[in-house]
Amino acid sequence: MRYYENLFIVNPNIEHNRLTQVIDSAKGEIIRLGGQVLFVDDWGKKRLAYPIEKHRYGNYVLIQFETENHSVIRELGNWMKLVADIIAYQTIRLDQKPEVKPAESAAE
Amino acid sequence: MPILSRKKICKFCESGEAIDYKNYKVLRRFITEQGKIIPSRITGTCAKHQRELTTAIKRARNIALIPYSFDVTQS
Repeated sequence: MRYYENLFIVNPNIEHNRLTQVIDSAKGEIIRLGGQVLFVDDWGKKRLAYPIEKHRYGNYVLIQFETENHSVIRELGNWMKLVADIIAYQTIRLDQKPEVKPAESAAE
Repeated sequence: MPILSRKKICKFCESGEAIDYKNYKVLRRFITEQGKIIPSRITGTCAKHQRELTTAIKRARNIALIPYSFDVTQS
């Protein structure tokens, strides 16, 4: 089993329930591709270090998951590219199983 | 007597803190005002942690947590 985490940025101008919807669909997509979602963390609206698609702010969401199938990463990337509300994403492979509650300090 | 004033100690070896690209506040200390990665010979970071640090900084840049470069012309 391999552990991954995906950090993606959602358009900050959408309503709150739409954001929940995007997060849920991302979770659903991981499950559909054969992954298991371990942890989801919404960092909230943060200033971006540089503008992306003319957005100065973004809503960061972190999802940690596990899967046997490494093609999930590519598939998830392809899916995220197509979602208009996701303006950037990045998937990282973790060396070990993430702790139940990852570092809070980064998320504030 | 040696010319070097004192031996630099790697901050991560000392504290045992893991290097994480999400913890961008720590990473900020290892980039210059322009946004470049500071070499380990200046910061005293050991080779192992400098490699991890470099990866972490690049990941953080990619997802807009820290900038690729600060605007030099503005200031």
